[in-house]
Amino acid sequence: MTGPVLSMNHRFHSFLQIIFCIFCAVSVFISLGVAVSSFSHKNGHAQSRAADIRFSHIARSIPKNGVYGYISSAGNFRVPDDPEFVTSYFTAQYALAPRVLARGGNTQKVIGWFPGIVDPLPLAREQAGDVQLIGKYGDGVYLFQKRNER
Amino acid sequence: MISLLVLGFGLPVLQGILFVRILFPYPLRILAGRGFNLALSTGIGLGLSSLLYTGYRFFYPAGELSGLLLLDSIFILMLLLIVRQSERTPHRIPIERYYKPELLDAYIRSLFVILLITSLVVFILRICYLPDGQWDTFAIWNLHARFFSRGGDNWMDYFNPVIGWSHPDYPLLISACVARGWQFAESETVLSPALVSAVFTFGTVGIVTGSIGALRGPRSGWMAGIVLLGASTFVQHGAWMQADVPLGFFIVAALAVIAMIDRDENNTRTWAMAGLLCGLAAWTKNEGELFLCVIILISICNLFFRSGPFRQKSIRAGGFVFGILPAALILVWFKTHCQIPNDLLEGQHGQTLQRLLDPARRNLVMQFYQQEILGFGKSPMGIAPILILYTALMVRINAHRVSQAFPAIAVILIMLTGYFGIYLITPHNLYLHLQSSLNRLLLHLWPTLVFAAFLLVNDYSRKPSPGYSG
Repeated sequence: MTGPVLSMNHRFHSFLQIIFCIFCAVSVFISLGVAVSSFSHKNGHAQSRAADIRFSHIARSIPKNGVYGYISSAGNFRVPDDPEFVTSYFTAQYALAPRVLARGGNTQKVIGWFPGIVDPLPLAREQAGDVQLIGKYGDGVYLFQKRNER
Repeated sequence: MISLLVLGFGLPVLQGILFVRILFPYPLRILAGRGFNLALSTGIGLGLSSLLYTGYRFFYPAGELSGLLLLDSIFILMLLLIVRQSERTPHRIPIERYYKPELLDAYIRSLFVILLITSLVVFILRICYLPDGQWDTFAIWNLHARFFSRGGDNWMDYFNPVIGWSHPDYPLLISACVARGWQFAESETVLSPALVSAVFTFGTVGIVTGSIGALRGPRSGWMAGIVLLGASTFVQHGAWMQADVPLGFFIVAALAVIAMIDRDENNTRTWAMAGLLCGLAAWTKNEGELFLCVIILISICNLFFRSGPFRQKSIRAGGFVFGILPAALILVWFKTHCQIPNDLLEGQHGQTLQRLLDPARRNLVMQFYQQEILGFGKSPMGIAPILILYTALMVRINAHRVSQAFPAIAVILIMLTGYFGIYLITPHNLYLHLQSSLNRLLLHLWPTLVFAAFLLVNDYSRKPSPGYSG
């Protein structure tokens, strides 16, 4: 009896192995489908690469070290976890490394991103206090300085 | 640029190959075994290069490329001298003899190759879609790499509390490897983080497939590889170029080496390599430090409770501790210089016990654990429970198997408990913390779960009696 029982066991286990392998294969092919469909849509990488381009001019003009403030009209700067503001801040930090960007205007020099705004000074003063504009770098990027610390 | 990048990655790989040749004298003649050796060499090579690079930047913050090349060359020369002088007596791994291959073995091997190629395509497509990876990639790992590569003398400027959100206290293995690649390529090419990530993602497949193939036979090895790839989140996270998959690599590599030398009492060198892998896990991510503590605890238990002469066990433990030292020293230096407090510890404000005993928090964590474990892998249905069911149906227990699988099972259980405790006391919003991180933490242990499961199952293609094979 041992022989046929072992053989039945062997077949059962081989069957289990085949089923498990097919399950895994289906899973991998589904992930291939998802990857192909997401690839054919818009590039998901736009935010960090766009920030690299946006801040490239100012990055060439200011020293490579030091702590700068960061203010922006993206999202609501008053809300600590506002996703739009946080995204703009994180991508700005990534683009401007090795400088350190502090959120808000509590530093002597403050970098601002105010896309599509002709006069950013009122918004900048609302976020960073008494600042004055000292540089325009295009694409809504500005450099401000605290007036009393010049 | 490409040739310099190839040089930047070729030198660590060469170092890794020499290192493995010195410390791992087990000729694995099966195909998957060669994959294991290659994966181990490449992973160790990158890990060592990150230690060397960080050490170099500590003593010479400007970090000129010429100095780095000189350092790499000296290290390779030293390894070559040791290889020449070291006696290479092949050791043998106790494995079970196989039946002659059946047709099913050929099918399973072919399926593994097809799925490996498919996963590679998925990996490349995902890198092309998100060349800077996901949020954590550019907000943490590649940001630190940019400070390394752009910062010159001031590369440590990011040890600054105002960007505490980027977790400056996170270990530097990934960032140092990426920055090193950028420095060699003289450009911030996406190929550098992509190559680092590919090495660890597909290296993990090599480690799991090769070690199970060597210890339990080729069919089990190929099946373990298929199951590992079957969790689609594994390759997806690999392509996001974060540190979770590399941490999983070092954890499973250390446990695989420990399982292979389980019964080889006379090999202190390979215990040193296991120690090095554990140290590199701690140098990859803070969770790796928990793994290091767990594995040290298991080693201490082994030292006192396992049979065998105490002196011999002490020598093995000494080799293990010696292997941990390079990464541990760099890690201690890093943590003492980067005095940014860990966000989880800093936010306790005396509420630890209150959080720990809060039943609502405990229930929420339990609920997430259940949900994430049952659904792990984002397959048509969760792959982890199916693997556990498969293991339950196919398991064949004997003392030797249990002894080999014990460290891996203990690591999984203790680390899951540790993560559970950390969630209980987290000062962050618990729901958001669980939602944003639990699946990544489970990913650290996924390769180890596959490894442990296939150590315990019988693939029914082997003769029942254990034997020895090279």
